[in-house]
Order: sequence, then structure tokens, then C-alpha cells
Amino acid sequence: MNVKVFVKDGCSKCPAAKIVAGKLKEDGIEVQEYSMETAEGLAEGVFYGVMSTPTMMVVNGEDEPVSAWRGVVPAAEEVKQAIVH
Amino acid sequence: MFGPEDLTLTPFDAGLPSGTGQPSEPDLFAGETTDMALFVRTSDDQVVTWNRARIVDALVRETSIDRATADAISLEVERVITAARIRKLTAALVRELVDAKLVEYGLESARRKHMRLGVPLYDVERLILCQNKENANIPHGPEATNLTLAESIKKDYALHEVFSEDVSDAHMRGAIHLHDLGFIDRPYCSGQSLEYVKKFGLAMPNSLSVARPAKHAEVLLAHMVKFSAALQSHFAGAIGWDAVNLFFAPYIEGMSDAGIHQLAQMIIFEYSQQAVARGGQAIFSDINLYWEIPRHFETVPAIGPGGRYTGKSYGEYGEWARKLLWALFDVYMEGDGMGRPFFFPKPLVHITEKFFNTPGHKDFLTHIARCSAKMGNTYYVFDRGETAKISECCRLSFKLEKQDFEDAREPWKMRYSALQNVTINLPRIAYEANGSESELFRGLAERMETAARAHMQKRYFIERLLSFGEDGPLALLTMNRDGAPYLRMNRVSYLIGMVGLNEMVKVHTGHEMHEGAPYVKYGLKIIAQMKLLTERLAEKHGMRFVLEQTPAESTAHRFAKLDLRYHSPASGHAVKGDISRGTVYYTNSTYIPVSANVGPITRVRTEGLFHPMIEAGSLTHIWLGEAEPSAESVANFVEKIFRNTQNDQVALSPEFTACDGCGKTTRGIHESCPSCGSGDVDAITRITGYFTKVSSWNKGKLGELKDRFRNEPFLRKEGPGAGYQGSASEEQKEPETVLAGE
Ligand SMILES: [Zn+2]
Repeated sequence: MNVKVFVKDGCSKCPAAKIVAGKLKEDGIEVQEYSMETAEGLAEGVFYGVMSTPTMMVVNGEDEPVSAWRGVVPAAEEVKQAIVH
Repeated sequence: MFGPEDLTLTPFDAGLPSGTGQPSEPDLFAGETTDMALFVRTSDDQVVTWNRARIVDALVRETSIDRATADAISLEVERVITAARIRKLTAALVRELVDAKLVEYGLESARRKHMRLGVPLYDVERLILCQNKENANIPHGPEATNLTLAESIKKDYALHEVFSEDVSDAHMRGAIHLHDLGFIDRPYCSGQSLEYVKKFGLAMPNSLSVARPAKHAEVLLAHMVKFSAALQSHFAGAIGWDAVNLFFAPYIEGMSDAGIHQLAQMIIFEYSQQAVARGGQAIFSDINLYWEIPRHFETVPAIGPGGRYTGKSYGEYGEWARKLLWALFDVYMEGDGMGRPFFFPKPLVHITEKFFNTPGHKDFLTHIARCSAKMGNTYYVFDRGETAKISECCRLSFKLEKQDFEDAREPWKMRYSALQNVTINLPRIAYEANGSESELFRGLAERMETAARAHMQKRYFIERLLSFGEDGPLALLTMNRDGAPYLRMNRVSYLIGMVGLNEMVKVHTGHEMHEGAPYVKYGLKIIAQMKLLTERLAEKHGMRFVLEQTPAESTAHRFAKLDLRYHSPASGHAVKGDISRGTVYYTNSTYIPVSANVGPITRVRTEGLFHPMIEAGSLTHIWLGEAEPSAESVANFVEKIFRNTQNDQVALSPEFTACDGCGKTTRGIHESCPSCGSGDVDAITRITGYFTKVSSWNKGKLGELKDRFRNEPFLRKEGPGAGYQGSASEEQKEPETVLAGE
């Protein structure tokens, strides 16, 4: 399980999402951050159907999404819950 | 002296078949006699006596060289002619001799300005006698060869005069493809609203008569078709019409079902039989259709007979719009007089969230799904979410922006155009990068810059033509009936297309895109980069650059052929098709290979991943071959696509054999007629975006046809891999029938 975070410049809730991502990293969770303004980030976002930022997504070992928060920022605890389940 | 036979004019000097506007050289050799008893046949059917001074005049007038040099050249040319004892001179030969001298003198730029554009005798004869396979929509005939000959000269003109040398070279080498060079003096495609014709009637500049707004549905149709033909002669590509069934509705209110069926029949036959138009080429026509009333038209005042407001809004015409739409598909289902599918107009049915809340949608979806399975005509356009879209030309679809919603209040203002289409050869960039990712991205950026330059040069040229106004060559596009010229230059788009993403990914990573998620992701990364680059270029140049899935009917073949020449042996492993037979091609745009053994849902889903980044419309083809899935399973499939994928547009393509012996049309492609055994048959299926006879296809497309994976396993009830629900990597998870046969 790991977490993917999709952000963009000038998106109002993205800084909050980055803070949550930081907390998850501190707790030893693997987090990948993607900027939708880079080719890499946009490609990854499109692959997972990301239409709004910020989007946070928990993916399993096969890179399949298990749960996602689109356009909203979950609490770090909420994300951890999803990882456990 | 010369006998009469010496005056026989070759097609060359006489100008091409009359009326093609071959630039003439009327006074090059007219005038006084010299002591040489020599006559010159000019391009305007005159025989005049030799006069060296005419060379000097032409050189000074057409190039920038000085009179003394021109004089020296003319003397040398005269000496050559005298020494060779040439008795039958043509203006063309004189010009070639002069050009050869300019080369000797090192006056390359003068030679470019002085050169003659034309077609070798051999080529003209072949064109007149043999079929042109560049575009399968052009039948063979005198009109078609006129068109081809004119195109070849305009193409040369474009490459020499409109585009800079670097852009032209990039095209010639096959690094990029400049589409429709033979139509250099026209924009690419046009999409409009029937409201323009309803409100203003048919009053085109230079037309012989002016028609006031139509009072009857049949007359409105006649106006629409004539206007389409006029537009076809001003645009290179598709002519699209928005919400056709809705805008016809005020004209058919109260009409009987039989009357509506008759009208539907007329609409389709009028367009499908327009092969008498430009160059014998059918009008590449799209009609956009809605079961629901698009939200942006709900409260718009409706225009009815006589171009007058009916006092109702379009929201009140749902019933009549739906009746006409249903009838149109009845006609598509019947096919033409031989039971073949209609090639044009292409029906694009828009599916929005509102579609599923509109009465009768279930029955209607089954109705068009039946047509899809049986004849293949239906295009499903998925407009998800809140953003409305209109599909215009060549699958070009626009998401409506604020300005468009304002225009929608006065729908005759809704006319859109793409000025040009430039396609990038993606595999070429991969060969050149030789495994280096930074080189790959550098190459991509460089090609995108070249494409942008090509667009700026075309824009400059079209603006020049438009500047002559209603007296100029593009009078129709400058006509101003509503406070803006017909062609709104400030709203046009500039298309940047791509060919062979799949092969680019293969060359760079060693795998094709359908072989696993990392490779699809790599393809997505390339397109993402192209998308970001178009945005940057658009900002930099103040032009609307958008990505497009190029139909690439002949470009996919041309690029593959040129890469085999310039990038062997690497290209030998990447191109598709049969190298020994020359039927090579690249996979179109961002598609996964046509031969990939993946089910329809996987194909739709995987190809759909790219669609959100391709602003100017995209399409997934499902090749059916002989199989005919049930209407219910197709309808179900379509709803699944809308709900569970990001795919923008889907069409199902069956194959047919039409027999000229017994007149029967059978399912599948057969060597001889399964009904009467006659070998006099035409195979028919979709080439890129439209149906046509296979006999007219180019070699690359024939190679592709052979490779098409026809989904037969998925059409049988328990076929392997049938029914796929999950992500791209887990094809065979849930065995369920996706497209079941009956
Ligand atoms: Zn037959």
C-alpha cells in the first residue's frame, strides 16, 4: 500500500494536502507527490482519472486504487485507516 | 516552316485542363521578331516568335537579379538553343533552361522565385488513367483528376511560398506532416449551426440569386445542403452541423410520421449523394444529434419558418426533435438502395447526463445500438459532467467556454473552424533519441515548435487572402451578416496531431502500450508533455493550439515508409504491416495497435485514458468484422462506457461485401458474393472516420485492415477474455459477455 497525492500550483486546498502527505511520510508511509503541471504528474493523474486537485489516493501493491479523496483533504488518520483496511 | 501538327499543344504549355487557373506566362515571348526563325508555344495557347528580351524582362520582374546578369543569362540560353538546333520550343522548356543557368550562376534564391510549378507529362497521364489512393473519399473521374492536378500545383506553391524552408523540409523529410497542402488557400474544417441558414437564408457573395429564409422543411434542407457545398469549396476538410434534429424541429411541428420519415430520408440521401460536388468528392459531413435538449439551448428562442421567432423556446421542441432523430436512424438502418451503409452524413449522437433523464432514452439507445451493430453508422459522443461540448469537424470537438454560452443565446453565431492540421511523426523522434529520454523530450519540443511555426505561416497566408474582403478569393468567409465575418479568425483553432505513439513507446521502452500499465503510462507521459507544450505555445503566440487525434488516412503510411528509408534497421522492427509488400503503417494517433488482442472494454478504457488531454476530439474504433452483437448488449456497453471510462467517442465498425452481380449486401469481407458467387464485389468498411470501399484504400490502410483485431472472441457468449471490468492490467478477471451475439 502507498499513497499518491496530486497537486497543482494555485490550487487553494493543495497546501493542506501537502501537510497531510508530510505527516504520513513522518509515520513511515510511502507517499508519492505529483504535480499536474509536469508531464509525469499529469500522465499519472490521467491514468487514475484525477479530474480535480488536490486528490489523494491509496493504491495497493498492484497499483490499483483502494480509496480516493477527490477535491477534498482527508485527515491523516483517515488515510491511515484506509491503508489498514 | 511548321506544319499544323507542330502546333499541337501538350497539356503542359496549354495550361492544365481548362479552368484550373494555371498561372500563365502571356507576354514572355510576345513581340518583335529576331533573326532566329524560331517560335515558342506559350502557356496561353499562342505561338509567338522568339525574343531574348522576354527572358530578361521576366528575370527582372520575377526575381531580384540585375538587368546585366539577366542579359548575360538570356544570351547564354539563346546560344544553347541555337547550338542544339531546337526547332519546337515551349515556354516551359525556355524557363527550365533559364533555371539551369541560374543554378550555374549560383543564384539559388532567384531560381526559386523563377521556377515553374507543374506536373510531368507521365504523371498527368497516370493521374487521368488511374485511381488516386491518397484519399479514399475521392472517386476516379475527370472532376477528381482536375482536383488532384490543381492540388499538386498548390501543394508545390505552399511548400515554396507559404512555409519557410525549415518547415517545408520537416514536411518533406516526414518529421511532420502538413495536411491538405493542396488546399493551402482554405482553412481546414468548419462547424456551424443551421440557425445561420434559417435566419439569413441563402445569400452568399457572388451567388446568382438570393434566397430568403426557408418557409418549409424541404427548402431548409435544400439551403443547408447548398450551403454545405459552398463551404466544402472553401474548406479542406469536414463540414459539421450542430444539433440538426433540434434546429429542424420548429419546421416539422405537426407533421405526420410519414412526412417526418420522408424528410429524414431526404436529409440522408441529399448528403450521401453529394458526390457530384468538388472533385467528385462527397461532402465530408457530420450531423450532431441530441435525444435531450442540450441545456445551453433550453431557453433559447426558437427560429421557425420564414426565419421568424416562433414565440417558443427550444426546450419546448423536444418531442419533434426526437421524432426526427428516431426517423433518421430508421433510415440509417435501412441503408441505401443496395442495403449498404450510408457513408455520409456521419451521425454523431451526444450522450450527456441529461440523456439518461430524458423520456424514451432507453428505447432510443437500443434503436441506435441496433443501427450500430447492423450498419455501423452510429457515433457515440460522450459529454460527461457539466461541460457541454460540440463536435464540429473531423471529430474536432470544443468544450463550450463562457463566450460560447453567450453565443448559444444566438446560435447562428456558433461557427467554429480549425485553420490547419499539422501532425508529428512520433516514432521518428524515438529513433533519433536512441534511448535517451532527455533527447526524446527535446525532440518532441523541437517538433512542436516547428508545428507552431507552420501554423503561424498558414495563418498569415489566410489572413492575407481574407484581407481582400468580399472581392477576394475567400469572399464567402468574409461575408458579414451578424456583425462578424463568417470565419471568425479570433476563434479558430490550430490542430497539432500525432501518429504512432504506440511505436514511439515501443522503440523507446521495447514494449507496445497494451503490453502493460508502465507502457500505457509512458504513452500518457508523452501526450501529457505535448499537452503542456501546446498550452505554453498558445500562451506565447496568442493562438489556440490544441491536440488532435489525426485521422492520418495516408500519413500513417507515409511516415512508416519514410522511416524505413531514413531509420533502418530500427524502423524495420517498429513499423506495422508487411514490409515486403509495402503495406506498412504506424498505429494512428494515441491508439493501441489495431491487432492487439484486447476486449472492447479494455480498448475503450485504455484509449480513453488519453482523451481528456486531447482537446480536439478523440475516437475509439471497435472493429466487428462479421459479427453482429445484439442491440441490447451494445446499448449496455455504451452506458458502461459513459459511466466507467473517460472515453470521448466510440464507433463500432462492421464489414460488408456489396455484390454488383445480384445487388445483395452481405456481412463480412468475402472474395466472392456468398449469395450468387459473383466475383464482382466491393468490400466496405470504415477506413478512418468514415465508411468506404476497400478497393480505394492506400497500401498502409490495406495492411492495417489485415491486422485489425475483430473482437470475435468477445462477441461469442463465453469467449476467452470476454467481459472485463477492472483496470488495464487484469483483462480476464470477470468472465462476462461484453458484446454478446444474438
Ligand atoms: Zn451476388
